[in-house]
Formats: sequence, structure tokens, C-alpha cells
Amino acid sequence: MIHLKGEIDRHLASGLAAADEESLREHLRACAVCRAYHDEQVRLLRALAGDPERATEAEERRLAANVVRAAGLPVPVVIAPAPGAIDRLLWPGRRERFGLALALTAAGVLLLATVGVRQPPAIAFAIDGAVETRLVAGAWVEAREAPIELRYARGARLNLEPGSRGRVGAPGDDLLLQAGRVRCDVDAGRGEFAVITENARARVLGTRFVVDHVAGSTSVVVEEGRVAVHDARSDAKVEVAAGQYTSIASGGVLAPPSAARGFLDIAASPWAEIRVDGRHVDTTPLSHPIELSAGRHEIELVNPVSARHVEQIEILLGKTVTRKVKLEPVPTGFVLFEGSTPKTLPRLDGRAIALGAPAEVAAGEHLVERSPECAQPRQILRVEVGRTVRVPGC
Amino acid sequence: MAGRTSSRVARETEARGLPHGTLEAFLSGDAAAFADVVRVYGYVVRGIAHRFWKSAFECEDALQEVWLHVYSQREAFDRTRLDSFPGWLAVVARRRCIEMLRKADRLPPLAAGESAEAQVSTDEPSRDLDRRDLERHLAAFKASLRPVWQRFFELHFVEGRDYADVSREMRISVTRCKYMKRVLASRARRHRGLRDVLDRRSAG
Repeated sequence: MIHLKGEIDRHLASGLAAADEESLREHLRACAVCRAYHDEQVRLLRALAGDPERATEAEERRLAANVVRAAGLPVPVVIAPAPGAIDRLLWPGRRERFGLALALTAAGVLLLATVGVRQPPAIAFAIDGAVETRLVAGAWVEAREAPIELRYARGARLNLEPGSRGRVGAPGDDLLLQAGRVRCDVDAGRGEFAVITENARARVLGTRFVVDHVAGSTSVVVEEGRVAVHDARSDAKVEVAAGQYTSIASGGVLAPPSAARGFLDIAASPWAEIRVDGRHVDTTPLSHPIELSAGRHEIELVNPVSARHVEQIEILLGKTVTRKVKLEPVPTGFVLFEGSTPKTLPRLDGRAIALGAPAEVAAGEHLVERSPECAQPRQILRVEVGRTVRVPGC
Repeated sequence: MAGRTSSRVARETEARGLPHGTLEAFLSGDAAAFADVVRVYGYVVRGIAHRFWKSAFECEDALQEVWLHVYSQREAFDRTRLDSFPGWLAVVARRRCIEMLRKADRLPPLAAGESAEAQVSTDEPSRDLDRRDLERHLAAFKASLRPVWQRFFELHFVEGRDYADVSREMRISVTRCKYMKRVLASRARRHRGLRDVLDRRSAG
């Protein structure tokens, strides 16, 4: 019988393709000599890791990949990348950069010779409430009940939502998102950053975006800038612009970018004007939810006799966010515009006011705008609590 | 030894349990969650299989079958008792190991109340002594390496990082990593102290 010690070495050193590994396993089942050699090598590798009885990380990764594959499921990239898959996934343009890399390597050799071997650098810091943890390459981060903020040394800021789990710097200075949802804010000019899942890689140069990875499906919503999303299993790539999203299901293909929209259903008591990111969009009560781009927005509710309500809300892709807000009453006074009906009604803080009837407004200063023919087309009006301010006609 | 300790602590911390969301995803058949379960609870199943199979290859072969069985039986697990998952896993794994040995005619049928594990040999008590001996020889082996090789040894062999990680961390190519691993494994095989400890354990 031919013995396959070289194959065993390759299998333990760098892994074999699935079919080759299965054929090696068949051989090992039948060949006691090779099996003994395999066991000896495994014991040696375990001993070098500190415990001859304990499986090494490489063994654990290999086992997980094999059982997932044997169960007929797609092997997650984090567990067992196919040979070269990580390189393909991370560095699509690596050939173009090879020349530069060669020059940098020469410089790097000199630098390393000068500074010697250093401690592993911190890739990022995890901020969980008041606790800040230094994360080196390969560290796992999991947000269980509260979100965790990740601050990368290169400038990216990530928010890992509860129930999410990922690995920093694995590989590269990126985040390997195993499950959950991560919101990313990446500074332009600080180099490339990527979030990788089992079936996609979202690569950015400076932008705000959200990656969702649930039950094998990945969606990427871009709020600002542009994000290139690569399919992990093919060379397919789509560029997603601000306000758009793409998605890929387990075993599926990348969807073309389309508008990322969600809805806001808001009720206010008493009634209020709704301003989104500083622009008036509607007034409560709403006849139907307001359609907005997915992402974060500043919502402002304005009622003349109530305190302004300002809130940051996140509109989720295809979902409706519901809010019920009770506005706090404030001390009020009255404004009475006098005179005959003009061509355009006077406006108080941008709101048209009828003539001849006192309008209740919050005490304090207000901006009055009238027709240009008036002596004072724009003026600041001070309203005191319980008093009526009369504004004579033009 | 600091790296080894931190690596162990990380694995043991993880082994306390996965979030319920991941377990539920596994129960729903999610591939990433299944891989996570295998990795985090691997020690439970490995510990059981190790009592029945001494050969590393046979043990790994059995582990694959046991995990496939666990995957196929996942719907039998009560989703309202996610905290009891490791216990359920241990019971399913142990039963499957016994079934596999019976099929292979390597285990006689059990009498009522008899434990299958009682039929396989247990570890000898000199393990602690061997471990201390191993640690001493490993430290000597590591000290004999040049700094760059020590770093590779620490990252790859002790911390268990894969080639992509090590190559990024040390700024060397993956091919160089593979070469360094082969050289170190070959040197370790020739290291007298390490060989003696391993031979002693094999003989035991």
C-alpha cells in the first residue's frame, strides 16, 4: 500500500480541498501506518499549542467546516475559506498593487530589522458602557443585551447592535460579521474598510452604511457615500450609492441597487408639524405613514403652544417605525394681527395666521413675516405669558 | 505562556454559552450558527468522543458523524429551554457514540444500569506531571528559536491563528507561513525533550 505522509502533512499544515480531504480520510480509514503517522502529527501540533489532549484551533475550524459541508450547508467564510478565497474576498485588486507591495516589502524588511518584533497592535477599542477594551487582530466581539461601540484605530466607528457578533481584524483591519447588524461610520481618507459576511463583502472608503446579516442573508444600506459590495462566491460586485441598498440571500445572487426606503408613522398630542432633517414634510394626524430613506433622521415636532420635540430615529429598510409623542405644554400668550385682508397672510414662525383673531403662541420671541409693502416686513415679536400682542396692519 | 493562557481563557469564556439568538438560528438550520455551535460547544462533544476513541483520526471521524446526528436531531430540542442546550448536546452525543461503537462491534451490549464509559479506559493520574514537563520543554524549544520564528510559533501554534491572520500580523506571505510551519513542526519532531514527553504519553 502507498503511504500518504506528504498529503497528511499538507492536510494538517494548510488544509486540502474538500474532495482531496475526503479521499485522504478514506485512505486513513484503511491504512494503519498513515493513521498512526496522522495521530502522531496531530499530537505534536497539540503539544506545541500547549496540550497534547486538547484540539487546536485549526482542528476546531476544520471540524466545523467539515460538518457544515457534510450537512449540505454553505460553509461560512469565517470557519473554512476555500484555498485562496480569503485573498480573493479581501483584495480584489491585489494584482494591481503587487508592484507597490514589493517595494513596500523591501522598505518593511528594513523597518522590521530596525524596530524588531513588536507587540500586536490594537485594531480597535470596544466601548461597552464605561468599559473600554483593547482589541487585537482576531478578537471576537459580541453585543448581547446592549450595543457595543467599536472605534477602529484607523478611524472607523461601528455600532454593533444587541444580538450581533463579529471578529475584528479577521483578516485585515476589517470586521467579519457573523450575525446581526452593524452601523458603520467610516472617515474618508483613512484607508479602506470592509465588513465581511459569509456571502458578501462591503468595502468603503468613507461613508455611513449599515450591514445586516440574519439567517444567512446580508443586506447593505448606504446612507452617505458609496459602498462596493462583493459577492463572496463569485466576482460579482455592485456599487451602492447613498439612499440605496442591495442584498444577497444564502446561496443567492447580489441584487441590483435600489432605493432603500422605510416608513415613519407618528402621532402627536396636541397636533404638530413634522420636520425631518429640518424640512417640513407633513402635519399630524397623518393620513398615511411618511416614506423616508432608510437610515438615521432627525425628527422635529413643532406645535405653537408646546415645547418642541426633537428626536433621532432610525428608519429601517422596508419597515415602519411608529412613534406616539405627547408634547409638553408651555406658558402661552396671544398675537393678534389687525388690519384689512392683505394679498398674503402674515406668518408667525413660518405659519400663516388669520387676521382679526388672536392666535395662541408660546411665550417668548417669534419671527413675524409680512408682505414686502409693509414698513417692517420682518420683525421679532416678544410675547409675554397671558398677554396679547397686537400687530397693526400695514 | 501568556498567549497560551489568554487563548485558553478566550476559549473557555466563549464556551460558557452562545447567545440565544445564535442557538435559535442553529435550530432553524442556519449554517453560520451551526459552525458557531460546533466551535463553541466542540469541547462537550470532543470530551465525550475522546472517552471512546483514543486515536485522533478515529475521534475526529466520529465527531463528524456525531455532529451530523446532532444537526439532524436539532428539532427534537425544546426551544423553550435554550439554557439546557449543552446538557442536551452531551446526552445526544454520548448516545450516538455508543450506537456507533455497537454498530462497529467494538462494544458489547450493556447490561441494565451499566455505563458504557466504564468499559473504556480512563486517563492516568500522571497527566499533570507530564503537562509540567511539556511546558518546560516547550519553553526551551521556544527559547531556541530566533525572535521572528518565536513570534510565528506564538501566533500560529499557541494562539491558533490561521495563516491569513498570521500573515497580516507579521507582514509575511501565506506561503512563508506554510514554510515556517513545516520547518517548526520538523524541528519540534526532532526536539528530544518534546519527543520524550510525547512518546511517554503514547506509551501510557
